[in-house]
Amino acid sequence: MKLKRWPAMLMACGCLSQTANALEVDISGYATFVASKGDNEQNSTYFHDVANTRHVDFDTSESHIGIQFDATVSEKVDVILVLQAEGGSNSGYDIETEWAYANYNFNEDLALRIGKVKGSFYMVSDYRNVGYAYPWIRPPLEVYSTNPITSFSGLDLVFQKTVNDVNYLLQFYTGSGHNKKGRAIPAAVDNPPTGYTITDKDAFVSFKTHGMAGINASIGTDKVTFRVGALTTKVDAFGQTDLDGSFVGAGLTVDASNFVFYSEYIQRDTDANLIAAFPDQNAWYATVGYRIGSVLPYVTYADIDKGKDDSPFAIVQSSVALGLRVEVADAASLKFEAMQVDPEDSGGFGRYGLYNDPLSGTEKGQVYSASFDIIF
Amino acid sequence: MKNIKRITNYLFGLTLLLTSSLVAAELVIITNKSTQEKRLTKNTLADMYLDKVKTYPDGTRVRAVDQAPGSDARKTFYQAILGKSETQVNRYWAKRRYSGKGKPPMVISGDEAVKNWIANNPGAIGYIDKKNLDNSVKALLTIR
Repeated sequence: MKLKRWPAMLMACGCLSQTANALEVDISGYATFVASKGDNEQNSTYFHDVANTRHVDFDTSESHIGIQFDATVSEKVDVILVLQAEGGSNSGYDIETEWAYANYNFNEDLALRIGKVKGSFYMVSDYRNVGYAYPWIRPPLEVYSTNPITSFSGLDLVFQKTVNDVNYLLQFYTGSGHNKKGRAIPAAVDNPPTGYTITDKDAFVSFKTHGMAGINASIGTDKVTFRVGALTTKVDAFGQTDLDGSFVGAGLTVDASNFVFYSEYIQRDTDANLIAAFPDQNAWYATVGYRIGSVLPYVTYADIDKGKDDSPFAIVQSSVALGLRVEVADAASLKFEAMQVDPEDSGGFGRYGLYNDPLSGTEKGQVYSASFDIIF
Repeated sequence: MKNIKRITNYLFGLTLLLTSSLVAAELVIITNKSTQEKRLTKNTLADMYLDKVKTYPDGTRVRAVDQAPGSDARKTFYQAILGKSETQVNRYWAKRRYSGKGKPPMVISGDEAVKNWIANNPGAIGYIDKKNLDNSVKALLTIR
């Protein structure tokens, strides 16, 4: 039923934008289609549905199409809605609302967003679904799997200014939200501590965040950007309320003279009651690439380790990925990536890392992926 | 004799093609007649197209217009003013647009449509082939 309304909506937008002094609605979008396959002796799937070992999997939650509607209400006010059709066996290209907010521009440097927004938790968090915007098939999961909060409802104050070719960004946000994208930790599902009730490894951990307070700041030029961020929030999960959670991170990107570099370090610190769901973690990655015409070969090293609480359920692993991004049109790219993963045993339960089941001995797992990324 | 004529025709055609592509590459930056600025630097113009400069000194909102994706005019403009390829500019917008941190210029296809829109909207700025310039708009800068 929802789908049937689309042509009418699009037609309405088209008509409106052609009428003088009528509402201007700008429609744009992005699409990413991913296929992956894993390879390891235990037939263990990598990070829930990212890479199955038995067959090439096109049906993963990494594939999606997003449509952005941006209605200019006045010179100071915009209303933005982003709907995303997400692939994977859990959702089957069902449409979900990714962003839904009103933007008020106080002046040309300062804007307030109210509604459902994606948090600028890590460097590419707020455009993580737009594969075209970054080199990888997926942002390194060692870092990006540690923040299960995908979006929140609240307020977001954004200050942006460019002075003498230096770009400054300062962002404060606060809000709350229901979240369902925190993935269960397989080691905890197989070896549940007291009170742990999740029995399905592909299950999402439901939790609520409130009292969020975050900051995101960056300084940079067109070639180099340095970014820091911090978030503190209260979490309600597993029948407990007001548990503390905090995330801090710093990152650097360089894209100059065909040289491409991305690196980030993050720390997650949570209440001791969350050690089986969201334990403390430290993680980082570095990507180095060199653009040759329309081709960008790159290599990424990523690492995740235990944090302050030394949880036996913490994810511990490192990975090396070799990738290739090819610009096949002005707004479309093909990417290929081969990754070798070395999980470690963090608490005597086996070498899980980001796998659903532990790998044996000293075996390293392989993950092969390809994607097609478009913006339109 | 027939061959000579064929070669002459070919050369004539080639010359025409080269000339027309050279003429097409000569763009002029145009703005609404009410715009106070008499000239703009390349840097300011680039910042207007990257959504970093949003107003003119007198406070009028900048309303930048882009030609169609993939068009020669757009590629020439990006290379000459922004010093970037269309792919590089697309990557820039992919990060900003879908994180709600900026909006790319509005797209209008064709010189006539661009000129009409700019003539009717204060603060509007765009680029067209110089041969299509007339006095409905104000010229700011020529790109060869």
